[in-house]
Formats: sequence, C-alpha cells, structure tokens
Amino acid sequence: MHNRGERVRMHPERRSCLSETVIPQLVLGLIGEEDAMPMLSHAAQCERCGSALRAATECFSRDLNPAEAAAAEAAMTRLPVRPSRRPRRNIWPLAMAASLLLAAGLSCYFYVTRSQSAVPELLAKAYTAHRPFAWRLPDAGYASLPPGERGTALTIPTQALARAEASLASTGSPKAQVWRAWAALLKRDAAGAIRLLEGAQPASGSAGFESLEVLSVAYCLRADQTGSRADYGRGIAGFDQILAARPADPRAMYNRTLALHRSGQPAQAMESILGAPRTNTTPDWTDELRGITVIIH
Amino acid sequence: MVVTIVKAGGPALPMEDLIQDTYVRLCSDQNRILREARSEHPNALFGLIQAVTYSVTIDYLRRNGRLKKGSRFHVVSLQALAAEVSQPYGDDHDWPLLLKQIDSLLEQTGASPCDRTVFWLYYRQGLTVRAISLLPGIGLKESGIESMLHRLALNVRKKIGENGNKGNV
Repeated sequence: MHNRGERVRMHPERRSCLSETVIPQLVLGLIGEEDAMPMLSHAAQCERCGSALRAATECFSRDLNPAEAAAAEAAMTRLPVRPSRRPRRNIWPLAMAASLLLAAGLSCYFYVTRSQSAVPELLAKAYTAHRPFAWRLPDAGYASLPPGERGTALTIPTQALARAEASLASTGSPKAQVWRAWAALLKRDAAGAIRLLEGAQPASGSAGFESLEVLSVAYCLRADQTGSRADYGRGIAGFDQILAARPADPRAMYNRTLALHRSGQPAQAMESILGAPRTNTTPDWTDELRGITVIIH
Repeated sequence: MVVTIVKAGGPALPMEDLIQDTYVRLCSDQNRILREARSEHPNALFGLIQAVTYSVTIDYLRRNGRLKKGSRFHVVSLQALAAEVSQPYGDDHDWPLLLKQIDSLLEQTGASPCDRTVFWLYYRQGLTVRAISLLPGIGLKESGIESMLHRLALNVRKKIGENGNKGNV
C-alpha cells in the first residue's frame, strides 16, 4: 500500500526525500517494486532518509522484550479511557422521605397559620352572611338588627359556627380565647363570653384591645337581654377605654353609640356619632354610620 | 498499534493518546491516507495502520525531545573499509569524496543500481542483511545479499588495489 500523495511531500530542502509515512510503508513492503527501488536508491545515499529507513527496519524487525510485551499486553487489555461511572445510589427512598417530611411540615405550618387567621374570618362570614356590610363583623354592632330594619334578617349559619368552634378548641392562645368569647356572642351567650374573658389573663397589645372590645360587647349584649344598666355602663366604659387609646377606632365608636342609644341616652349617642373622627370615608362605613344614625333617630 | 508504539518508542509512552493521534491522522484531510492507498497486499490496511502509527510515534518522540537528531541511530562506519583501503581518507572532510569514489568504483566493477543500493544500505546506512532482504524490489534472500555484499566489497578492494598500483585513485 502506497500513498502516492505522500511522495510529493518532500523535504523542503531535498525534494526527493521520503516522508515519515512512506518510510514505514516501504519497510513493511506496502510499496510496489517499481516505486520502491528509486526510494531505496535515494535512501541509500541520503543520510536523513537512510537513518529513518534503518530505524524503521529496526523497529519492525525486532521482537518485544518481556517488559515491553507485558506493557503492550496490559495496554491492549486495558479498557478504553472513558469517564468513570460512579455507582449510583438509589436515592428514591431518601427523596420520598424528604418529600413526605416537607409536605408534613408545610401542612402543619399552613394549618397553624391559616387556621388561626381563618377563625375570625369564618366567624365574621358566619355572622355577616346575610348582612350587606360584609366582613365588618365588629362594626355591625353587638346586637342583632331588627328584622326588616336593614332589609335583611340576621341568621347565624350553625355549620360555619361549628367549624369555627372546632378550630378554636384546638388552640390555646389568648387570641383564641377572644375568638371563643366572640363565638359565644354569636350564639347570644353573652354570659359565657363574659365568663371566658373575665377569667382570662389580661392580654397586651392588639389582643388586649380585642379582648376588651369583645368583653364590652358582651356586657352590652347581656344588658340588652337583662336590661341591666350596670352592664351598659361596663360596656360603654370599655369602649371609652379603647377610644382613649384609639380615637379613630370605628368599631368601638359604633358600638359605644349603639350602647348609648340602647341604654336610653340618645343625645349622647348622637353626640358620639357627630364627634367621631371622619377617618374612615369608605362608602360602606358611611352607610353604616347613616344606618345607625337612622336607628338613633 | 500498541506493539508498533512500544517497538518505536518503548512501553512508557501514552498509548491512548498515540492511538488517538493515529486515528486522527488516518481520518484527517477527509481520510486522504486511506483514500490514496493503493496496494494489492493482503495485509495492506494493517500495514498502513502500522506505518501511520510508527510515523505518529516518531513525531511524538521528536516533539517531546526524546528523539534527538541521530540519537536512535548507530552508525555503521566505513572506517573499517577505509582502513582496509589504507588510503589517506581519515579526515572527515574527505568522507563524502571517499563515498563518491567508492560508488564510482562500484559502477566500474559493473554493479547494477540495485546492487549499489544494497551495498550502500548495508555499509552506509547500517541496515542489516535481513532488513535489506525484506525490502521491496530487492528480490534476494539473506544469503544472496551476503554473497552479493561480499562480492561487491571484494571487487571494490580489488579495484582500489588496481588503482593504487596505477597511482590514480
């Protein structure tokens, strides 16, 4: 076998010199006799090509020594170089366990956070299900509106209340105590609400105000039920305490006005309405104000 | 390939790299070496791969400085022949002239170009008789080459002696 193209690749200085690929072919007898003789004739006279030819003949004619034979055999039996594949672990059990733990953790987190925030929402939805002023439970006042007076009759969806109470029973925080009292109020159990909140440790911050508000509402509701002026007085005092700290609290202002009206103090009730800061100018709140003004008149 | 690499450069060479380089060279220039190969030899492809492997190995050795110029060659000197001739050609500067004159003497003895090639491959380039016998176009066995070399050397000596007696070498 002879690469004719190789023959034209001569040494730049000696154009007749043989290339490095032709010489081993010559030694291996792959070049025809006609082509080989001129090459051999040149190699016999050329130091460079002659040396290369001799080296090639020595290379191909000699046998491997034991060390070389062992190295060649090892190289031939060696697997081709390729990226080693590390034995893979079966990570599915670990992944499944991690996923379950994560799902459980997320479920607990959402149950705790969302259930706590969902309780007052659920209570409000239950109480205001048929009221036009939705989601404004505290602002709706502590007492039920007379049927037909606002065009709707107050009904309490008991299933929603049952769900809310079940949620409340599972928590023991001060806020949950307020929610339980509020749930009792929704069932017109003013005495139960008062019992829950009077026996509880006074809370601080917003929880404390909420507790005081619910307790005041409970006093007023019990006063509505029993006609006790003392309970009205306790309720109004509670609203005054809230308004002293939060003058713009609409719920406290609304319920104080209603309590004054129910307790037979229309002038003070009107004064309370007129003196209320106009911080909340939403249409719904304005409608509520108009409604209670109508009630007072 | 592995055997060729070991033979050409020893067992310490990077086998995988050289084998890879051999394949690259075989496939380079759109498989030019394979396309241009012309041979009826039954083991032509095997021999071609051997040849390319050898060439790649030699190139590698040369690139890495392991193959310095002439380091792998042992010179079969014509000093002995020159001593036999006992001519004043000991100076290296006269060596090419001596070779040219010997070649001229060979031609005068009627040696064919093929005979002269064998003569110089043996005496100048240092190929063994066996290696020469395996080269294409020689057409002689080892014994034939040995007898031819003996005959050529004898003729040259005789011719030198004749010229010496005549005083014009």
